[in-house]
Amino acid sequence: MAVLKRDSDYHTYADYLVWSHSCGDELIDGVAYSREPRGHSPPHQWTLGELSRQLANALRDKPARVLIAPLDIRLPKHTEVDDLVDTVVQPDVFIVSDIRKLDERGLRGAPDWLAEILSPSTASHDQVVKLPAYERAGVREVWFVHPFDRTLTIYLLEEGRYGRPTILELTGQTQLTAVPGVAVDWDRALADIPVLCDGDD
Amino acid sequence: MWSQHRAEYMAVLKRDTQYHTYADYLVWSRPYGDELINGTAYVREPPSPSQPHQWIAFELARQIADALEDKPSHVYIAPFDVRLPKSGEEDNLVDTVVQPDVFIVTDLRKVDIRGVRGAPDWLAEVLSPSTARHDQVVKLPVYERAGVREVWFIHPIDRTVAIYLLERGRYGRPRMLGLKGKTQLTAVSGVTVDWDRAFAKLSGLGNVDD
Repeated sequence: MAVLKRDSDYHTYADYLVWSHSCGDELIDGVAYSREPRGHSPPHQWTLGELSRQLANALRDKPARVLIAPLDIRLPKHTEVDDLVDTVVQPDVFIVSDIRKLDERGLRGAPDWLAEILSPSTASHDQVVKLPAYERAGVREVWFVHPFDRTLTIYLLEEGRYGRPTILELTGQTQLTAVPGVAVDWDRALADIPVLCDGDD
Repeated sequence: MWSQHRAEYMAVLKRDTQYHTYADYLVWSRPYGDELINGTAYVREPPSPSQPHQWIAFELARQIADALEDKPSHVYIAPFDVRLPKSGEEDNLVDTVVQPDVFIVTDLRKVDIRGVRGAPDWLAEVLSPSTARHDQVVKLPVYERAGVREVWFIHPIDRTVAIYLLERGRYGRPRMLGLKGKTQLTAVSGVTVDWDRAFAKLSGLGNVDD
């Protein structure tokens, strides 16, 4: 299982719209990646669901929106038209406070905050390939949630760059920095997470 | 098979709430898995590390040992005590004693009958679900304070390595790499790890795959 390069061509959003599936395809600087298989494991989806639920509850009376994958985010480099955008990603869950960035195609521009739930098939792609794209696009806060290792790695944008991440254990509560008034309760989120019966190291 | 039962996660646990030093660590510690961090004693619960963990730690040590064969540097694997004094205190008063999975010492005067006193030049921790938190949350700040020039966190299941380099006494943002091809050590010259070789025989072993 892995995230694989589709081919060696340079792609833009215009042709991504032609061949992409509804879930699991991304463009990073024109390189097309596909996740195989496209589904996720029970712990991944459980963690994603619980995280999204808590965020949505916390933001219920606020204009900011919580959105979950699969939803295309176009990350233009400057002001190029959509057809020429060469970076299109689907973070697992993200928050948009400026809802003018939302349109019928998804989101154009950086979310304020996003989280990727790491799994063995995507951990390298998320941290090696996508993190620099999030930095360049100006995503203010990125969380990598590792449900197996029970760790949270937080990157915060400072002067346009991510510095050294804060690494925390998934226990107690963690407050978002980029979106005030929102905290995640890990004990609640992970209380009933599905686990492997055996072979789970 | 997935179940809804709560996982019994192995872990690294605090032994008690007392302040410990190397002197009393010598009395109660077992040969493997017990550590002191700023006087707090941590004990590792059984079982022993998993097969992928041991395989990668061993492969790493083997490749490094081969590369360093004709050089004065030594490579060591856990369990081997590394005392990390805060200043010039004598051994009995040292409150931080760790056992990194694999490490390199270039200054052999640091090596003595009890293990190593002072920071290795380079070290690697092979992460597993039972130790990933302890290694990254608790031990990394200790390695920074002690002046370990380069730390690798190798994730054999996710196939990633996070590389922290000391710059002006601090670790910055880690370099994240996928475990393929070759990666050169920075703090110790002339040593390269070949991941494809390291993992060649590992594939097919049971591990947590998603």
